Amino acid sequence: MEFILENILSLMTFLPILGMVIVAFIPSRFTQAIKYVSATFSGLVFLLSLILYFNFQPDNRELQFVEHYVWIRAFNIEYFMGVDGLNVSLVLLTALISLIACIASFGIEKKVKGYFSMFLLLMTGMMGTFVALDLFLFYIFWEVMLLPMYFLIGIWGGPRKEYAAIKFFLYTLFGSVLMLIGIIALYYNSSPTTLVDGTQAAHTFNIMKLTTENDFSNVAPLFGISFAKLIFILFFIGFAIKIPMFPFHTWLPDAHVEAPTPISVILAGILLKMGIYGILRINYQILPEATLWAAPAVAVFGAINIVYAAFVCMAQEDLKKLIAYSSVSHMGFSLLAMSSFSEPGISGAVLQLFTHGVISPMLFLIAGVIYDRAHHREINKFGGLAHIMPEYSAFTGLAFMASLGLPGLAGFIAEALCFIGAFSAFKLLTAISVISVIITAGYYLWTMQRVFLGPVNPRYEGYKDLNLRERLTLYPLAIIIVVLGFYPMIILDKINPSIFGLINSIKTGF
Amino acid sequence: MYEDILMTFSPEIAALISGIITLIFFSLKRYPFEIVSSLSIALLGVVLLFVLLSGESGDKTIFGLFIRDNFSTFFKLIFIVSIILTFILSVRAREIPESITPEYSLMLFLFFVSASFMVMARNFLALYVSMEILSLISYLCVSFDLNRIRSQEAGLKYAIFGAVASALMLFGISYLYGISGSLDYADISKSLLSLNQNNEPVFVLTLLIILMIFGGLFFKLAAFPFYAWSPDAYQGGPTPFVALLAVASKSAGVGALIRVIVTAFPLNVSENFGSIPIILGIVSILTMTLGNLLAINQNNLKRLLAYSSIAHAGYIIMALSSVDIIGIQSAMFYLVSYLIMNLGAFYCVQIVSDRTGDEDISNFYGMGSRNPYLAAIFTIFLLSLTGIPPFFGFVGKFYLFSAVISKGGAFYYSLAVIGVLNSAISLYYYARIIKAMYLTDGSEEVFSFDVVRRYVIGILGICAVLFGVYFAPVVRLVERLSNILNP
Amino acid sequence: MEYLLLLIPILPLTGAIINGTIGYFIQKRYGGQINGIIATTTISISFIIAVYLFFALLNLPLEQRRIILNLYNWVFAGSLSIDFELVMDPLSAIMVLVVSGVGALIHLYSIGYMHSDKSQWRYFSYLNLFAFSMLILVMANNLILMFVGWEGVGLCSYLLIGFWYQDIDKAVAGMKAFITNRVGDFGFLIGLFFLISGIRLIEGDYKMVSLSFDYLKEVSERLSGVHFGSFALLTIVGLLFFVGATGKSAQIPLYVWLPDAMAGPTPVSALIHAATMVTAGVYMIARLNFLYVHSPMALTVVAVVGALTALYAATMGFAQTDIKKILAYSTISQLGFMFAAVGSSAFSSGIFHLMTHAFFKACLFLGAGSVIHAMSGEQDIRKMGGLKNRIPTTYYTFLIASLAIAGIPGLSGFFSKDEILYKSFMSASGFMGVWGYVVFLLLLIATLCTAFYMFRLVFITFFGSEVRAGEEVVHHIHESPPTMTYVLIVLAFLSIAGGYVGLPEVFGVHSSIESFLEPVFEDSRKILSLPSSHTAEWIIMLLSIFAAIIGIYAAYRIYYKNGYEGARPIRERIAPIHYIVENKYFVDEIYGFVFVDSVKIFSYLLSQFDKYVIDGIVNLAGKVTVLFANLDGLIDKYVVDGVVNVVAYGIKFIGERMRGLQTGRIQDYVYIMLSGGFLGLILIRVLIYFMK
Repeated sequence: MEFILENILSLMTFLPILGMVIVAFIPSRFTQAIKYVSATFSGLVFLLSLILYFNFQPDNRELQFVEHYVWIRAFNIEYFMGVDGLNVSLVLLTALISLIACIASFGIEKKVKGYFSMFLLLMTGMMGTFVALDLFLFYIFWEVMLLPMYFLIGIWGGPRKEYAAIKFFLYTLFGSVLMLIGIIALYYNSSPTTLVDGTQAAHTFNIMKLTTENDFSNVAPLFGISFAKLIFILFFIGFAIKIPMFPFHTWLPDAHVEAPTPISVILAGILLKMGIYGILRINYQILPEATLWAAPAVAVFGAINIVYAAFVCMAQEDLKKLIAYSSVSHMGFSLLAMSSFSEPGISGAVLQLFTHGVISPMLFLIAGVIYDRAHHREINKFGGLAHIMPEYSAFTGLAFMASLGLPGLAGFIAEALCFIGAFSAFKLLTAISVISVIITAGYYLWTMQRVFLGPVNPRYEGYKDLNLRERLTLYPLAIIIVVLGFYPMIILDKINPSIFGLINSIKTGF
Repeated sequence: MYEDILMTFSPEIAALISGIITLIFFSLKRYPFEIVSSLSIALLGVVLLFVLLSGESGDKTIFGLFIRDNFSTFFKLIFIVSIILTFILSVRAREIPESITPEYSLMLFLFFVSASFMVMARNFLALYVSMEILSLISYLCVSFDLNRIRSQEAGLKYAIFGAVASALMLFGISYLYGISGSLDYADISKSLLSLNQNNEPVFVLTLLIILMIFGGLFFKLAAFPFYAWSPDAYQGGPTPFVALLAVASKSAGVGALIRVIVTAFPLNVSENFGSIPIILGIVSILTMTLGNLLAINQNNLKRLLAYSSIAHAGYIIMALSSVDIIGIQSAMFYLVSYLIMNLGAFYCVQIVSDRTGDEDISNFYGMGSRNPYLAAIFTIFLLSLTGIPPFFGFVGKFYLFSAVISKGGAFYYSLAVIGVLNSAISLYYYARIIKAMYLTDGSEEVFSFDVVRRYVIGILGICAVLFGVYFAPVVRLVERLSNILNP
Repeated sequence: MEYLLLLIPILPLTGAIINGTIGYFIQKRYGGQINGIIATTTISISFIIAVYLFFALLNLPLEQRRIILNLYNWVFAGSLSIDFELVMDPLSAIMVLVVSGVGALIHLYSIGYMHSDKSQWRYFSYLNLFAFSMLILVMANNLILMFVGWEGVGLCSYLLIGFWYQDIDKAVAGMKAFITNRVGDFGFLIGLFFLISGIRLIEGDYKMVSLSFDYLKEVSERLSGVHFGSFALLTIVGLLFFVGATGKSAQIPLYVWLPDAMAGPTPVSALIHAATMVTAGVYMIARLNFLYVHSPMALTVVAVVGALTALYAATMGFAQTDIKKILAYSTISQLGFMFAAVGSSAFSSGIFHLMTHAFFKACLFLGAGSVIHAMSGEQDIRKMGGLKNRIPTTYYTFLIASLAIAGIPGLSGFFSKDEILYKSFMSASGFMGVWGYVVFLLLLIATLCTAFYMFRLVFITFFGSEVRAGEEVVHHIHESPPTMTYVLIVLAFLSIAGGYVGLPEVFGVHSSIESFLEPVFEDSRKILSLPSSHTAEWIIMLLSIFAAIIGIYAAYRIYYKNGYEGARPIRERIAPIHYIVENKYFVDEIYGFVFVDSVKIFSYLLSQFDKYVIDGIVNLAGKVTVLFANLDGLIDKYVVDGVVNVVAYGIKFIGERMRGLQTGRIQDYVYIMLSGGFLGLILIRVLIYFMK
């Protein structure tokens, strides 16, 4: 136990790799064995994440479960992991959604071995990205995710998989190489410090050190704009592509539509969150004054995300595409809220990451359920499914309601906090964004009506209702959604104090 | 005195002798190439020994022409390793006819000799001569395959380009001799600095001359504007030697270039007419961009790798444009990673083309299921070439960009931005190969190949990953062997 | 003791969960009645508990008549701390009694009404869920929690309107209701945000803020000083909240969903769309009285809009022929009365009318349900007539309720409505000025109209000689089962007796409901008190009676003899007006075009923009790169390489014939090589130029 608690982050990050190795040694014909091994490992990770989460002390603002060693002395690169209120909930989310997605993957028939080894590799990348506190380490994990994602979309995806896969890969890579420049630039402009083992270092990648010991506002400007702002932009583009933020969002619908269901789940549930997390962790903490400078623009983009995507949803014919765009819209809430620097706002933004992180996977699972049966997702071609698949319809209704922010379900508190926070800073923008509560209701109910209500479409008679696998994935999410609706403190408790610290660091950061 | 010279040149001499030995020995009686190459490798081991031994006694300058320092040792190590790998790759290689094995191995030994002289040269004449020898060997080896017209054509094309480049260089050298009365790097840099600052024609001319001299070296690096030979030479020449060309002779060029930049040309020939960093910067931009763009829709993998290696030369020159220690170290570091991943890539291409007869991308369709091992390793090399963590290539690129960014300033930042965007573009064509192997379905029949190569690419692959995750030893090596240079 | 508070909402919730999860099997195994019984029991127990708490409340001294249950800290972010807190004070006590009481009755009624339905389990779980949300709404002790109930009831109304979802029109009606409510919520939310930021202004960033009503009450004084631009904060907030109310309570301009909501089962219309949910807006304003009294402007708007709605909806009642639609418009109109009341700061009168209306309107709807039940699903009153002897119980109860709503003395409607008229009149001499008279007049006319359309309905439906419907329908006509008729009788009784809790002062007694509600409203009345005059009250009483009688008489003259046809001559005389009224002033069509279609078109355009412009740019970038690559490749192949090839082949060619001429031709491409160098040089010059 002692050992586990001390190395819990590394364990959570690298257990999947171990699983991958084991899977690699299982002959491909034992598909069941492969599936169960992977499930076991993601289950283990989830277990650890629970242990982590409930051993996390919100009250002390320090980093916890820190693992800190010198890794490459030549570059002062450190192996530095730790959790605080900002990422602890996301770690839990990652483990949870990975497990759900892993169960959902049991339906995969083609090249099972490859699929699950890629899946486990992906898990490592995601977990690492959330817990790494050394820029170099962070970047490595950030990039490690790309390849498995490329394969998972490209091999197990839909008809236009190759286009979607390479689009995702290239788009994200363009973002992250700019980020790489930002990282190196920060490194060479950081002030001398000491590594964890006490040796002197001229520069550092350590995010915490960069936050506390460095002030980049007085570095010589480049291309006529201040250094900090330039670096902010470099990082921001990198993250904005991941979020995805208008106008960098177009890879998402393609990726989602083509990706197999479990991967859409991962994509929507975890990957999108990294953008916001990165901005909060790096841009906000390391470049506070640039953040203040950029905040209005970010808010505007957030509002555009919210409203624009909501309208676009309205016109979608493909259920999955609709959900994809709704994700874009919902990530806008976080963008808008976090640029207000108000505590409710940023708490709401982080909470929104979690709630959307459980709601949108549920939506994608739902889309997957119907796709498995009908082999198409044309909203207009359905009708009357509520009569054929009552249980399924009930879950869909729940998920839709949660996603349109019905009070009493997970989505509401987060969105309300986002708006409350944002309104204190941007009255008009927020008012405009609130229009989305109407539009969102519009497209969800309209979809509900077109797919589930009305006379039964004989073509879909005799469809089976949810099977065990689908139940296993949907029930937990549904329960979490309801519980969070009435007791969001499970998450808020843990994140609040660090948010307080973060805001202070910004307000006093210059 | 003599034992001094003997000691200093011991590796080259050893190589020469062993080359001749192999030639005579195998000309008397034909042995299968396995034997030849294993003997040669053994001899190269001896050479390696000498390299390390000669390293013991510190720097030595011989006749004022050559200098043996750690810097050159580093490159010799690279040469030896790549030549050894070439020997292994050449076994039963499609394009290496059994008939010419003795000459071939002699050539490789001579290659080492000339290349190491090149990086040791501290005098333009020495540089020129060793470069010419190296080029001659290359021409020959590229057009080795007497019964393939393509090979002949490639060799000829290569030779013509080379001739032009060396002509230019020679012209430049003679001019430099004219203004400084010496061919020694150091003297030249002195006299360049003493030039009268406000004599425009002289400076334009000087700059042009410097360009010409660089031209000769850029020819070796296959950098703009002297890159056009490489695609044909690569496609036409025998793959094993092409691999050597891509790695070793590029490295030799880099080594020589570094020495020239650092010792011969003062950083800022004239603040009025631009300076070495700007020249290098622009050349690097053009080189990498051209290389990447041209690679995008190549279907012949050797040709594709040729263009990509042009791009890589571009990255290296970019790093060198920050004429300082980090730049040099990063270039050296990158060469190590480049040696591993590029040779690895050529191995994979060779393995498949030996079976199928050509290097068309279609041969790799469905490789992911036909031979998962090969596909996986090749993927590692390709991603490493793209510069994606956690592979060696990423660290190399990271180092290069650090070199540029650490200089700061708008010029270097724009260089870096163009550089990273280029490496993002490069993903496009590397990913095409990955796509071909995994996403495109091809023939189902299992693809298998001989065990030696399997081991070699396995080891290379492991290195590509291992050094990607823990590259401290490489950094230390580079730092130790580059610290002689003080720009 | 206070944990009983929790039981009140929890019981229906459990019922809903039971029916929602295993209800299906229950119905399959034991028949739907069991579902009904489960649901009814739960809500009835809540009612009993409510009654118990009510008396417990009465036993407390006046100033401490509040039972609060603070369950846990629900949301805590920054300095915003919201508790999950239920309250039982006089106001919510009345609401809880109405909701659980009428609710229980209607549950009971539903057992009979829905007995033949396939999925009663679904019906009853929805109904219970509704009861739960409604109870949360009225028992919540802070705005956010109230909003939970607020949206919850919206959801249930959506589910229940579209209960027979296989009929697409019903499904669409449900959607319309939900989305229209969302439009209201838009206003409500913005109001909420304004309120919070206003509080921030006076409290600073770090003081803990809960949005509980007590807290709001105590800061309301200070809030009244806050201004955004030229508007007082509380005016903005009040108006925005009222926007929310218009959505939920079907007032102008957001009333359009309620008539369509009649698509749902009739008991649902009775419970949700007459007695309880639609009154939520009134409750909300009464609950926030302490905010509203600081903004006479907001109150005036509320009153005027209410009065307008009252009249407007009443007129629409004239031309309708669907029995439920008529009642729907009457509901809208009656809600208008309530808003007029709270608008003229007569909060207790508003609540009083809310209660009485709950009784008689529920009675009317259930009566209508019984009629429809008897007519085997027929809703068109033109097909009815002469039912009074065939279904007497229904008839008499319906008649009583109609008299009540028309405002005939002695019945509940009379007292409550009369008080509203009186208060609005007095408000004229109070804060509202001339608007007060406007409101008063509008309401008076509305009273007349109410009496008219109600008795139009009564006469057409129950009087006349024969039933104007098909044969099989006719001989099918039968009185409803006891579960339904008993409910009708109870409600009819309530519609008579309900009024006596609020006797006017002129009778020398003190209105017990007003005094019961006193603790909630007294502070507000201190701020905004209405003058009182007995003479005025007498006169107004007479006026309203007079209006009611005229209305009834007119209806009698036109419709008594030969029902619907009786109105033909008038109809023909005012054909165009009738046409417009019959089509509800075409408001639906206008809304449909302005809001629905335009949004759809706009969203379509945006999606195209996204597909072809935004994504287009991305793809274009890729294409351009490849294009460059091709171009570059061509140049490389034909220009650079080409020359070399030419030269090379040339040399080969000559080499074979006359040896030793190669050198001659090499210059050709030497220049090409050099050009590269020159190009570089030029570039350098350019760069230097820019760097200077």
